[in-house]
Amino acid sequence: MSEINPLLIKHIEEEESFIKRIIYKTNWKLILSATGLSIIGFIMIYSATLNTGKAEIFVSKQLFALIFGIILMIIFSLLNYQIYHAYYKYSYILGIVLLLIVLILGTRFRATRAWLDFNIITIQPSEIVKILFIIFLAGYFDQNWEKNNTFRKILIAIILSIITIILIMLQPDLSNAILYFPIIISIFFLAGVDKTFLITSLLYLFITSNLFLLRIYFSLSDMLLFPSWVSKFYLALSGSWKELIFIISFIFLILLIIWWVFKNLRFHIPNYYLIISITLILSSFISAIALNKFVKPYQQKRIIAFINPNVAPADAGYQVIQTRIAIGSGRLFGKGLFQGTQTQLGFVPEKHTDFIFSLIGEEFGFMGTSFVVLLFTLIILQGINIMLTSRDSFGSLLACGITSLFSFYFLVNIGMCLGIMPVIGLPLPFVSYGGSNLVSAFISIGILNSIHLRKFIY
Amino acid sequence: MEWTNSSYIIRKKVQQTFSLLKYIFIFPVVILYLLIIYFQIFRGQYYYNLAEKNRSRTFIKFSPRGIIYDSNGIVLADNRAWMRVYYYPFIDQRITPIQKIIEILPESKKLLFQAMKTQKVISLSKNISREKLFELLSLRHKINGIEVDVEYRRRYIYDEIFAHVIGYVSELNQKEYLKLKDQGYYFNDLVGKSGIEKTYENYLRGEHGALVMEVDAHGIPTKVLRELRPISGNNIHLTIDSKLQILAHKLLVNTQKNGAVVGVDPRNGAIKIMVSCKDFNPNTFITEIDERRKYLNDKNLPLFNRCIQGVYPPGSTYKILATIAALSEDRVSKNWSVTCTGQFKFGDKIFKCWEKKGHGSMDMLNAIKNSCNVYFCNLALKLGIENFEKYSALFGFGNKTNIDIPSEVSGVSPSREWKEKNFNSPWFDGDTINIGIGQGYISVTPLQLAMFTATIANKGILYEPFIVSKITDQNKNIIYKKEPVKKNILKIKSEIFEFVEHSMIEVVRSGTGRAAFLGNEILLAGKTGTAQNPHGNDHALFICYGPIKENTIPTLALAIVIEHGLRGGAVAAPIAREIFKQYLSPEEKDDKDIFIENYKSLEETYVGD
Repeated sequence: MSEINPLLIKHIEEEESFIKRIIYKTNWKLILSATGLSIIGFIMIYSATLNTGKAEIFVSKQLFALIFGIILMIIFSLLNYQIYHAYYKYSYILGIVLLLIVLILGTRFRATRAWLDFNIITIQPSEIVKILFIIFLAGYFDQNWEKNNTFRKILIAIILSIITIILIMLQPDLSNAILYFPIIISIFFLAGVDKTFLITSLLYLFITSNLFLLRIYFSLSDMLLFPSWVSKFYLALSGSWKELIFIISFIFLILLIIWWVFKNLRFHIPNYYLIISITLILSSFISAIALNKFVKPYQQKRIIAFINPNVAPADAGYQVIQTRIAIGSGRLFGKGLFQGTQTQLGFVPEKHTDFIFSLIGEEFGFMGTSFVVLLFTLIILQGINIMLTSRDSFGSLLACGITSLFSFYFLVNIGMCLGIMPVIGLPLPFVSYGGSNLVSAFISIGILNSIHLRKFIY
Repeated sequence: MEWTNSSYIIRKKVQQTFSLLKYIFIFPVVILYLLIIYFQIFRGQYYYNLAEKNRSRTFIKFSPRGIIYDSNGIVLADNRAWMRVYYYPFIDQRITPIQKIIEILPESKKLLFQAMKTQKVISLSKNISREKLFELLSLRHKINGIEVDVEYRRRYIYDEIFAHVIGYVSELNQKEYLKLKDQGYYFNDLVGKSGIEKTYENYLRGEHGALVMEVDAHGIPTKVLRELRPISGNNIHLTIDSKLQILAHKLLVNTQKNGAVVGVDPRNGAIKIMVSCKDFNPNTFITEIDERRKYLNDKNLPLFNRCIQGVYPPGSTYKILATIAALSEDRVSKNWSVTCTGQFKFGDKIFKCWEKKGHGSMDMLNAIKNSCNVYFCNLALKLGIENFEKYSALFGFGNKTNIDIPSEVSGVSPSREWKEKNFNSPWFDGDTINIGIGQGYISVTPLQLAMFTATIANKGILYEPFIVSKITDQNKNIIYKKEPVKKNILKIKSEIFEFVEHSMIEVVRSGTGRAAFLGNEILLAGKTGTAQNPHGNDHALFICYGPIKENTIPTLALAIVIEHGLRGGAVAAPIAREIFKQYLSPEEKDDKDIFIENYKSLEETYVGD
């Protein structure tokens, strides 16, 4: 036994042999769920691309990624996750470097510079950067746990996170940038960062996204034709300084009045609440304006379609309606493999990637969707379980980040397929077509399993 | 940091966070699963129907309308294949194919640009000429998205000649569509608007088929889901003799006046000729809206079927009715005679005879032969309005004939009550005298006049006129056959009819109707008429029937009305002559030029009422 690298077997409980150790302790529920989902995805990609005449190419690419992903999953399961802890700083630097390389050398595809083209294969580094970022954040907060709630530590974490997000936004890949928020928030939360801070940042996200949506909503309104509050607001959000200063000072004035009234009513309100709220609103406005500049017209259209599908039924709103029809029309047992009309006849776009869940819903009905939801639930439940039973805080934080990521993917993608979320363009992990995403998802599962193998036994 | 080594406070706090995070992670899964249940189980059928609607598109296969034949089996109206060109704008987003299409079909420019905007399939042209179609198809490898579909549309072979008999079809407008869609009509379906096409719409239209195709998101058909073959309409056989109809039409057109010719078979009431001028080309109603507007604005009222909708004073032709009435009511005898001085004074009114010098003393036969007004003014006074009313009704005047063509009018057969009601004034004897010579309040349609003539020809049987003899389905099974309907059998002595026939023969042989004389072997009976009217020149009328042989009923009765034609004997009678000439020697080819020469010479030669 001794010839085996201690890094691999460290903390795995004693059994007769190394192989037996691994087999008995592996979280099979997790691995089989993930593999099951990929097999479903595999079939569905074949079904989705059948009409293109290039189904074999799609399927073989995915098969290659699947095999590669499973190999990586095994490697990452065996590898002791605790070694990442020592290299968390390098993990962050590697992530930033990868993003910079993509920005400089990346290939443009659909107005997004997110791919590295190696002729044989194309890689989307931001898929790997996600994992690197989780490792970094977990490692960062695991260091000096007691100081997790200090302003300095939080500020550094936020600045470093924002740098990563900005680099992704520069590609610009809005959907991948959004993914970082659930990771950051859940890890911050677990690491014991003050609730006030978390609530403030949630409020910040909420106000920013609402301001952003509000501007798009106003852009559809006919109230813009006349000078009014709405048009001033619209101009302010579009980046006109005069209106921005006017609006913000107006809001400040109201805040001051409210604060003054509460003070005089002898409520106990700490003074920094006022400062926090002013900073919150100011930063929300600035980031909403910045967001407007980053969002491409086609993404804006999707958001408009989500707000009101009837405005643009020809393209973006059309998707929202058609994808829901596809899922709903599957009913209990579905229309049968290759028999989906909505998807096979092209009413639902991107059916092999973002909208693959619609295809499952249509061709296998409620049975199919239930099975997919069941497998996803198993993954998330196992993720939570691993987070709870991890040997150390680093493992818990890692598991927390990965689970929140899967949970968010699931929420956004299926919500999008059901037409209750804007079409952000996130794939369904394991199922959707896309090698980088599949490999990255399997690496995540490998890491989770690695934590599970070395779990804390009471 | 190993959890075992951590402080109690940290562990406690982390445990709390864990339990909260658990719910945060699992919460979206539960919500989404509930939504999936809602969409797939509770709303499943709704979305399934929406999906079915999305993917299937029904292409209507219009059924060919029934074919219309004349009495000899000659096709009068059939169907031809129309090429409809569809353009699918989303197949090719480039501008070049559109430019090419515009080069070939300049009128479709607006439609094409609209289609590019909406990205929906359009029908480029309702009907496209063969040359343009081939031109388009030859460019098919350059222009993507062009599809050709065939549909059947009406064709009227003789253009305007049968326009008023057969009528026309045109596309449903929005209002009609809403009314008729429950009866299986589709938008831009054809519906009969007048004539036979309207009356026998339900027989003619057949049943539309449908082709339900599966289409993809772009609207391109991928496969057939269901097919329902169209069932053609039933074929209609008319009683019209197309040779006579064509001849009558030609003759009427040659007069360059508006008018009507109606020919009836006195043996059963079958209509053999029905021509009304000015007429229209029913083929234009299917495509050209401008043409339709032109017809509507035409002062000559081409859409107006004068045979059944035009009302005219019968003029001197009505004297035959006066004669029959007087003889059968025994008011006068055949030998009762009156001296014609050229005018008849009644009160302060003067009724002039057309012969200014006067006819001198004449009996009934001569009065009919020469169409003496003075004689019939006197006769009218002896008869009185009640008898005119009675005999008019017996011969069908003032009532609709119930012919199977829509929009017939009844004309007016006046009575005391009628005048009381409409003019609020009592009946004067002067009115009766006017009626006696076919003027004044009385007005008849050419068809009524023809039926009147036929009743005299068959000695007292008033038939209901009809124009459709039978209807057959595609397998030539007769599904409808018209049996002659005797509306009225007149109880009038046959001597009276014989006398009338004799005097009408005399009219043609040596009287005012000499222009219709065909020689002593072929006997025709006729009566001319000239109807004064307030709109201009007098209308020329002529009624006649023949051939008259021993113990056989004549086979054709004609009524001819030429609006503002001045004199029946000069304008209308020659038409009757030519029709009979053709009718009685059908093998003889009619030469148009020779005929026109004859016709012109006749017009100059014959003068008379």
